[in-house]
Parts: sequence; C-alpha cells; structure tokens
Amino acid sequence: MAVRVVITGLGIVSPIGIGVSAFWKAALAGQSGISAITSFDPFPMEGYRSKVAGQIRDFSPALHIGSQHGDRVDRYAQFALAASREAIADSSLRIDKEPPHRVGVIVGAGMGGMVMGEREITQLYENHKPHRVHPNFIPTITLNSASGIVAMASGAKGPNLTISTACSSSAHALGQALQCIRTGQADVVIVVGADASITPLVFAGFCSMRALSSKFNDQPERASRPFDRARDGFVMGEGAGALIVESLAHAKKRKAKIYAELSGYAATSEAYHMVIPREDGEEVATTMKLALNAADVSPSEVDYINAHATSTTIGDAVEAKAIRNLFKSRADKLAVSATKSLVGHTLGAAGAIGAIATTLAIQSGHIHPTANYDDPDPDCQLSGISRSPQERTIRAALLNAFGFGSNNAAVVLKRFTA
Amino acid sequence: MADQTIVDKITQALADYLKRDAATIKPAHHLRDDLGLDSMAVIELLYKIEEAFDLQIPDQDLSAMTTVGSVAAYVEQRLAPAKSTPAAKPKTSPAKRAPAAQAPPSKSKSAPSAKSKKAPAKPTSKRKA
Repeated sequence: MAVRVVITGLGIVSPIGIGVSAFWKAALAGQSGISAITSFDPFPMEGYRSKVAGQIRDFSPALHIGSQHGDRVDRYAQFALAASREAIADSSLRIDKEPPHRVGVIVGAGMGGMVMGEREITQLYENHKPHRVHPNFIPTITLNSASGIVAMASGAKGPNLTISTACSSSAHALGQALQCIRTGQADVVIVVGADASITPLVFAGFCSMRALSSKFNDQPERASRPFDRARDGFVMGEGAGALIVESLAHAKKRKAKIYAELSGYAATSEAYHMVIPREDGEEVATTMKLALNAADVSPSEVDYINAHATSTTIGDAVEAKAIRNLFKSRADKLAVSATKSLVGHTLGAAGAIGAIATTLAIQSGHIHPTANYDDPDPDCQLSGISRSPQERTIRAALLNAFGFGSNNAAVVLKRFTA
Repeated sequence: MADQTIVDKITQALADYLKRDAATIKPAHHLRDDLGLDSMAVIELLYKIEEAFDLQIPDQDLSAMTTVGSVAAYVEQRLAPAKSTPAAKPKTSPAKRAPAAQAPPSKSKSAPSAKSKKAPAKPTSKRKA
C-alpha cells in the first residue's frame, strides 16, 4: 500500500485576505476580491481592454515576512515567503528539529519575478546602459527564486524544485510533493504556489489574447463569474498559497494536527493546442479519472470538486461537460465551487489556493460560494454550483487545474480517518 | 459591400497568415468553418488588422466578425467618419472618431451589415488559462 500523505499546515496571501482565517471567513461570505486597476503608471488605462484584477493591497513585506529575506526578492516570492511562513507555523513544524535534508520545497509559479523583470528590461531599452542592469536581476527573474528563498528562510535542505506549467503549476507542485514523499525522497514538503504579475506587460499580454473579462470594468466585483451565462473571460489575480505536506507516519510521530489526506494525483497533456482546450472535455475527464484511480477512490465517493473554472466561455463549459461525462448521474449530486470567482485567477498560485479551499472544506464541512453565479449557463449547468455556501460532509474531493500548453492536473484530497 | 482596398488588405493579411494565395480567399469565407482559423488565430488576425488600420477593437465587437466580409465591413464602419463618402457609411451610427490607436471601446454591437447566418466563431475568451 502506498505511503499515506497528509496536509498539516496552511498559509495564504490572497486578494480576499492575508492569512488563512481572514481568507476563509471572506470566502464563506462569498466576498469578491476583485477591484479596479487604477493605474499602470505611467501607462494610461485606456489602452487596456480589461481594467480589473484581484489585487492585494495591504501586503507589507516588513509585517508579513519580517525577515531580511523579503527585501531582495520579487513580489511573487514575497507572497511565497509569507504564505510558507504561516503554513510552517500553523503545522507547528520545527525544521530545526528535523533532519534538514528530509524537508523539501516545491513551488509552482507561472510567471515569476515579473515586477523587476519588466522594470529592468524597460530601463535597458530606454537608457541603453547595460552596466546599469541591476545585479539582482538574474536571481530575481530566475523562476526558482521563490523555492530558493523559501528554503533559505526555513532551513529546508531537501528537494528544492520549481514547477512551471502556467495555471496548473501549483496543482502539480502538490502532486509532485505527494510523489516525492511516496518515493521516500522527503518526509515533509513545503508546497507553495505563487504569482504576482499584474504588471503593465503581462496584463497587456493577457488583454491581447482576449483572455480577460472586459464587460465589467465598471463593476469589478461582478467580473469573475465562472459558470454564469454572462461570463466573458478570466480576471487576473495575484497571491500565494502554501501547504505543509508530510507522510502520515511523520505527522503522527510529531503529533501534528491533520487537516486532510492527500491521496492521488494525475498529470496529463491534451497534446492539442497552446491555449484552447479540447471541447469534448474527454481529456479533462480522463485526468480526473486517472487521479481518482491513483487515489483508489471511486467516483461515487467524491462529494466536492474545486473546479478550475476561470470564467472563460469555453473553459468552464468544457470542465462542466467533463464532470458530467465522468460522473454521469452523480454529476448533479456533487458540490462544485470556483475559488476564482472570489480571488480571480492567480495563475501559478491557483492550484495551491484551490487546494487550501478544498482542504478547509473537507475539514470544516463548509463549501464556499461561487460568486456571481446569478444566471446558470445551460452549457455548464451542474446542480451543485451555488452562489450560497453549502454544508456537506466531504469524503473525497477533486481539485482541478489546467494550464496553457495543453496541460492538465487533478489532485484528490480525502477526509482524514485514522 | 465593403471598400475594396479594405477587403484587399484583410485578404492579404489572411493570405500571409495562412500561407495561401490571396485569390483563393473570398469575402464570404467563414474564418473558422472555411478558412480553419481557431479562436486564437482569429485574435492574431485581428491583431494584425488593428495595426494595419490603426484601430483598437474592443472585445465586445469580436462576435460580429465571422467572415472575411464581416471583418471588412466592421473595419470600414470604424474608419467611416474619417472619410467624406456618406454612401459608404453603415446604417447605424459608427463609433465616434478617436485619436489613433486609442479608440474607446464601442458599446455598439457593431457591424450589423455583416451578420452571418453561420454560428459566430466565438473568438472571445476561449482560453483554458
């Protein structure tokens, strides 16, 4: 039998709250974290088709990181530090008391250090002064800057990896942490998903792809509306989520509190298109099925799906179709919710933030609402989507995450029973 | 009927993109069904057209652009105020003239003359993201 793996700590930096308790309170209330982008100084907002995002406004590196490590890393890595710090404290993990090489860090990040990246590139092209490129530019934009700094701040000397598969990055980070523990490489893995790239260039790029919502610029809190008929694209978000994942044996030995069991994972490629999913949903259904097989969980045991559901026209419909194809008559008996309706699409952080919402739902029996689900779209109709909170005992749950590059991930989490 | 130079420019952009002879591309061709453009390819085409005609096309206007002819009609409508040929103007009031490349998003459904009976290519928000 495969080694059992459990989740013992959580940490989050999100547009609806910094810290797990603030996040969860706001999530259960269906609070939107989407607000107007006031400026991409010095660029006028008129040039941007979308003008809303899930922005974090009250983050203070000094307050939330409180160490020297935060000063020299980009915003996304600061979020990663803050989230991982909270998760480690929440799990009561004393890394200084652990064999340090048995504690790993796996980070999922889609874009990385774009704040400094854009600034330095712009300055070089404007000033033509290569000698003025900041000495810290390369270590900042290198995509593993967050996994590096989290290790330095925590003392974790085990496997230190970064997974970048766009919007599914941190779902894979969680899945790879499971594999890492099962194959005996580590006892504990600090899993983080982080991105902070609501920056002039990246935001413009998503606008140019026509991927973002532009119909609700005057009503930002209504813009992210997964599964709703009026949805017109995703809303970019920023943030980080962190989960402490460890073998059950290790958790028991140190008498850790256990939120939920991490029991299976599947990684697939649709091998189809860089940004468009296969419309029949078969690849998504297969990914969920493979994850359930890996977890030895039958579809009849699944009570909740934390959907990828970004609020794009096709993406949500494909996912709903896949859920229906896989679960058949049970599809309408499942609770389904879209965390992105609250925080927007946090790209590389989305899987981790969704996993935190799933873990808390399993532990508390409360499922957060899907905000703005006002007019159910018949193309993605599932009875278990609700704009109200739902109360339910969850035996097993699926977390879905799909990324550009034809990339899919699904993770199975279970209620922990000794 | 859209202005021939506009049609030609759009046809050429498509021909370049599809690497085929411009003469084989007709105004009645549906971007998706006849020319095989997926939603991302339609967006790339419109990106080129925005540059060629110095336009900014709001997301809300994309659903009307399903055929080569409807794209041309849309572009013509957007450019219409710059010209002094009332006959070429579409029936509905065209988008207000704005400084180049900073045209405000049009609230109009736009390009009514170009409606195709075929299903729209649905170019917006098809991402999986």
